[in-house]
Amino acid sequence: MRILLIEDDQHVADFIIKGLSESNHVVDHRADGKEGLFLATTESYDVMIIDRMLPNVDGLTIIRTLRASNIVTPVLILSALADVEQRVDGLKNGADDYLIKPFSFSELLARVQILGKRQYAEPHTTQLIIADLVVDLLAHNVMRSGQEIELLATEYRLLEYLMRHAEQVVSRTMLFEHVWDYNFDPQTNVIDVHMSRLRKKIDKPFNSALIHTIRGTGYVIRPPEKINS
Amino acid sequence: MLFARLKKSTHNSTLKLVFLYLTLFLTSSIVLLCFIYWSTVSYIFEQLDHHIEYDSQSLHSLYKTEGYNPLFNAINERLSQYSYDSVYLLYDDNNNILTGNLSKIPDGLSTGWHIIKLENLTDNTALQKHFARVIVTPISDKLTLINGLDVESAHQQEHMIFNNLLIGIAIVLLLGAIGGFIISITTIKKINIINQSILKIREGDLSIRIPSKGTDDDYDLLSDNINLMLDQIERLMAGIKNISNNIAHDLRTPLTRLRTHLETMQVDNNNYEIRGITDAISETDNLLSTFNALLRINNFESGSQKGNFTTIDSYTLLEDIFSFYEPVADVKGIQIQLNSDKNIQYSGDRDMLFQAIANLLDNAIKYSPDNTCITIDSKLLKFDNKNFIEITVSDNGAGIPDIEKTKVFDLFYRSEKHRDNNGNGLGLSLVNSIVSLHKGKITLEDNNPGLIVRIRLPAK
Repeated sequence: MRILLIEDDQHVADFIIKGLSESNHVVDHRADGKEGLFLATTESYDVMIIDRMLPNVDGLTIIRTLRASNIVTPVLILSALADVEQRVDGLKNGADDYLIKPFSFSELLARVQILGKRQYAEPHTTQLIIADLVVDLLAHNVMRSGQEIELLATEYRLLEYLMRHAEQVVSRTMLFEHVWDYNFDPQTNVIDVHMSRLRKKIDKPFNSALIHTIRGTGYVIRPPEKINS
Repeated sequence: MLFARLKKSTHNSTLKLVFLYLTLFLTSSIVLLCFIYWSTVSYIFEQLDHHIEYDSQSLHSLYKTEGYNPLFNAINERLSQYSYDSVYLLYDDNNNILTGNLSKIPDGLSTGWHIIKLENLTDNTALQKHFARVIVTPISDKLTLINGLDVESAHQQEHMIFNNLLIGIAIVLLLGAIGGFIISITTIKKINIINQSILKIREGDLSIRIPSKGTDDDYDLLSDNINLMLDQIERLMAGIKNISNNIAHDLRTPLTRLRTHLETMQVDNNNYEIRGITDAISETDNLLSTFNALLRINNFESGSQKGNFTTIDSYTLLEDIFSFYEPVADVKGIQIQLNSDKNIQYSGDRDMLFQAIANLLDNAIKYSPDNTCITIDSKLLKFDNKNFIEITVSDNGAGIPDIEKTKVFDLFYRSEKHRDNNGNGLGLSLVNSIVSLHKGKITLEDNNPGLIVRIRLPAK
C-alpha cells in the first residue's frame, strides 16, 4: 500500500517508516502540516497516518480540508491526546480510526491494514467463508465442514469481526471496540477468555486451526494452508 | 493606620456603599426639610396677609355703614393700641393726610398689595427702616386707606426656622457620617482578618483557618466557606504528597524488573534474548497501563473530562458487562447472577460506567473463592423526592476489614493481603472518580462473608 505519514516527531516517524517498509508498504513522510496537506491533496494514497499536533497546520484541519475537497482516503489519527472526548472529536472531524500514543507497532500495522482493505471490501456480502468455515450473515448460523456450530451472541460477533478482516491481525482493543462497542482500552485478559471459548467451538473439534494468536498483538483468522507460506 | 487604609482603598466597596447611602440620606433629608421650611414660611405670610386684609375690609365696611368719623376714630384707636407693629394712613384725593402714623404718602402706590420700607414715621421709631406688608384700599371716591403690618417679626420667625433646619441637617449629616464610618470600619476590619489569614496561608501555612465569630452573619458564612475550601485543599495537598510517594514506590518495582531484563540480555547469550525482550515489553506495558489509569483518574477528578453523557438503560449496560465477564467467572466456577429491574434509565457516560462496574466485577471475581456466587443488582430508589439508581455488586470473597474500607479508594492503596497480586492499586480509585463524576456515591458494606459495593447515581 502507498501510505502518507504526517508526523513531526522524527523518532516516531523513523520507527513507523521502518516498520511499514518491512511489511512492504511504501511510505511518504512529511513533518510539517502544510507540506503534508499539500501532498495529501495532490498525490493518491491508500491510507494516511496523521499526527494531531503538527507545525503550521494541525492534524484535524488537514482531515477537514481533505474531506471538504472530497478526498475519502482512510485516515488514522495518531495522537497523545487520549481522552474519549478528543477521540470522538477526531472521528467527528472525518478520521476513520484513532490510535493513542504510546502505541505498539503491531497495533498500528493491524489498524492500517484494515483501513486499507476497507476501501475495497464488498459492501453487501451475505456469507463469509474461510476454508471450510462458513458464516451466514442473514441466518446468523455458522457451519464448519458441513456441521452446524452453536455460538453465543458474543462469540458470533467475535467470529464475524475476525472473518470480515480475515488474514488481518486484529488487536484486543479493536475487538473490544467493535464487538462490545465500548470505547476505551479494557486492559484485561477477558477478551482472551472469550477467544479461547470461541476457539474451543470453531477449532478444537476439527483437525486444523483457523484462529491464531499473534503474540503481543492479537488474533488472526486464516485458512490452514497459509500458515507456512 | 485605619485611616490610611481607608484613604488608600479608594476601591473599597463598603466605603463606596456608605458614601452612596449617606448622599441619598442627606439629599432626601434636605428635600424634606426644604418642604417643611417652605410650607411653614408660606403659612406665616399667608396669616399675615389674611390679617391685614380682614382689617382693611372691616374699616371699609365701617365707613360704608357709619360714615367718616367712626372710621377716623377706629383708625386712631388702633394706632394708639398697635402702633408698635401696625401701619395706617388715610388720605384724600388731594393727597392730604387725614390720619395715620406716616408723615408722607409713599410714592406711586396703586390699589392692592405692596411691600414698603417704613420711613417718615410720625411717632414710633421702633418701626423705622423696617419693611411692612401693606394693602392700599380705596374707601370711597375721595378717601384711600393704606393699612399693613411690620414683617420684621415674620422674617425673624422665618430665620429661626431656617436656622433650626440647618442644625437639623448638620445633625443628620454627622450621625450619618459616624454611622457609615463605623459600619465601614467594622466591615473593613472583618475583611482584613480574612485577608490576613489568607496571606499567611499563601505564605505556606495551610493549617491556618479564618476565625468565625459564631454570629451567623454573611461574614461568618464567607469564613466558613473559605475554611471548608481550605480543608479540601489541605486534603488534596496531603493526597498529592502521598501519591507522589506511592508513584515513586510503585513504579520503582516494575522499572527495576525492566532493568534486570535488559541487563540480563546484555550479558547473557542469545537464547535469552526473545524471552527477555518480551518480558521487558510486558513490563513497559504494565507501566504504561498504570500511567494511563492515573491519567484517566486525574482527568475525571480535575473535571477536564466531563464525559459524554447519554441516556443509559441500566439493564442493557449491566447485561453487557455480565456477558463480558461471564466466561472469566465460568473458569473459576463462579456464578454471576444479574437481578436488574428493566426500563430504568439514567444519564451517564456509557464507556466510563462500563469501566467502573466492570472493575468492580473484575475485583469480585479475582477475590472470590472458586464455585461461589456473585450478584449484581440494580433498582430504582426514591428518597427526598429524587430518583436514584442503585447498583450493587456482592461477592462471597474475603471482604474488606472496616479499617481499610475508606483507604481502598486512595490512589495506589493495596491491601497487605493482596500486595503480591498483580494490579496497580488504582482500580477502586478509578471507580470512585467515575462515580463522583456522575454525582453519585459509592459505599462498601460487609456481606458476611464477602463485600457489597453499593453505587447510587442520580436517575431521571
